[in-house]
Amino acid sequence: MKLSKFEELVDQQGSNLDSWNDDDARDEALVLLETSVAAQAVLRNAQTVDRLVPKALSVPMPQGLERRIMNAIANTRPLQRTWQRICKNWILKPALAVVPLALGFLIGFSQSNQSTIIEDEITTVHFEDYTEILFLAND
Amino acid sequence: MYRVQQGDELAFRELMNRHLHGLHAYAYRMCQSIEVAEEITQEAFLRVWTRAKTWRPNKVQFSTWLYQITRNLCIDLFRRQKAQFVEDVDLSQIPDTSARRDETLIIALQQAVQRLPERQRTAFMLCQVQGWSQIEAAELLETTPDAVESLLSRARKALRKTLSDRPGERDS
Repeated sequence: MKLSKFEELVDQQGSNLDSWNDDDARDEALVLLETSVAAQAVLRNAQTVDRLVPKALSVPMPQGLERRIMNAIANTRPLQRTWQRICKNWILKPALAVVPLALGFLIGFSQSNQSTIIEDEITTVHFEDYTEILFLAND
Repeated sequence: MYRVQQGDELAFRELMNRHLHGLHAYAYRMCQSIEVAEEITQEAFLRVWTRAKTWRPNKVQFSTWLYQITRNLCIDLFRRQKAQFVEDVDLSQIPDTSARRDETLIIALQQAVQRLPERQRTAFMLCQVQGWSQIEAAELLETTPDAVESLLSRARKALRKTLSDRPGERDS
């Protein structure tokens, strides 16, 4: 077994060779460990990690956390929250979406009124021109 | 959990007591800060209470859902702060006598764990330290057990390298 393969197996299956699920790999690893100083160092470091990780990641007990959480939820009801969510998702959000739509209609209609006035003016101007032509023709 | 969904505070307390220590330990190991871990744990349980009805039992286990909430809170915090919670200690300044050797290595390991990518750290915390199966961790991380094994392997390699890169360890 090569050192790189041994490292890979140690990282995959842990530093306890007895727990490895491949007996042949374990036997080959034991042979390598008898001769290779580098393999011994790899195993020693992996075992040190396993030994010290529980100490390195020990957790201080929280003080009074349970009480604080219960206080925090005391005035909050899941059902109220659900109704709030329904109101928000099904009423408030669609209502907000309607606002720009309504604005669009308002602006659109107000512009169409303006264009009608302009069209009326153009028609009047054309009519006046036509009257002038008629006068000239009569003259 | 069904009783919690109906707003039963007593049921919530029972549920919280069952998961409080494990969840707080996970939060603490992720961020290495007592205050932040407590804040995250409290917020996670508050979300369980307020969003209880959104949990779907046929979709995901309750414990997985609870840890997903906590993990998301941790990730949000990492993004907001964009900084390590543990300040790196210059280990070369600590005399590496045999009496202090373990102490120094523990600090080195704490720093190395904090430097692991979030997914590797989560897989390592849950499987190696808190005794979760790779299947459970895979559900939380929304991946396959094989991918979790790969994450664990890379995490172990990184931690082992931390020790092998130290002069005292390399020579011993």
